[in-house]
Amino acid sequence: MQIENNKLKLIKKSRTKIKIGDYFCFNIKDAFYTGIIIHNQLIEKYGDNTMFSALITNYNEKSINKISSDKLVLALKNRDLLIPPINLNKVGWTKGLFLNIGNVNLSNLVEDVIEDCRFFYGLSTIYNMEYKEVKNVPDYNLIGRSGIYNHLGLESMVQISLDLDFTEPNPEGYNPYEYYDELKTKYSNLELPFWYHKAKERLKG
Amino acid sequence: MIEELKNAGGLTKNQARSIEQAIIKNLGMKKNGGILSNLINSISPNRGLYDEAVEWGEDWIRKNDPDLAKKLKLPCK
Repeated sequence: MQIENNKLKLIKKSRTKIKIGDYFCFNIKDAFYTGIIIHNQLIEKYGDNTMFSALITNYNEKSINKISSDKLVLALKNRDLLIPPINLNKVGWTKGLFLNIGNVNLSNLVEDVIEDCRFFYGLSTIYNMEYKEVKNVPDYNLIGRSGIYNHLGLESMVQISLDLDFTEPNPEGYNPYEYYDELKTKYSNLELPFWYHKAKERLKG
Repeated sequence: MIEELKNAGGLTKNQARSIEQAIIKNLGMKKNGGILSNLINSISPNRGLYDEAVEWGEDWIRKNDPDLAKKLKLPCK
């Protein structure tokens, strides 16, 4: 069964070059949630325009016009995220599901949040925002998977966070946050994010 | 989600297919209740070399990408 109401909704198709500091929105359940690009070429060999590292916040508005960069920056500083850091491809923009709104200088955010972002390939391979392997994980809210997601990957993670039914049946209860179970074995002193608990609850059994 | 294999430079096409099939065998395709978006096998299970190819792929993963081997829950040899 398709749950159409819970899907990302078309805003406007665009082919703009996506830059570091660009903030954008997507529309789900009639709310415009906001995100920001913190890197546009984390893995250099992929070339540009391939992979965009983003932070997606809980900050949302009922209309695009109301979106405030100050409120977005505040949400980022407070690490008030909707899903973990995510590497996106550009399909969400070309399909018109993500829309760039403006650009902010990230220099104020580097120390507050970006420096602590991590991407998980495996327990022995965790990358920082310079794509260097590191051994520390400062905050479970700021560690995402190292792979590249399209808009559908983001959509299902957002559906978990907002308690919305999945667009399509989830085969074998696939849990995008299984990596936290591995992380817990090594970094046990950190608080697990709400999306981990929500995914565990709805995908159990 | 698309994720790059570690240490995968320099593989031949058939070696890459063996590794891909090892992943398909262990994670499954969505149409069969698994989690991968692949629609077809990389190597047909009907081919005589299937078992040998998949075993080679699994061995390669164990040796070259232990993080992936863990995800696939490949038993140590």
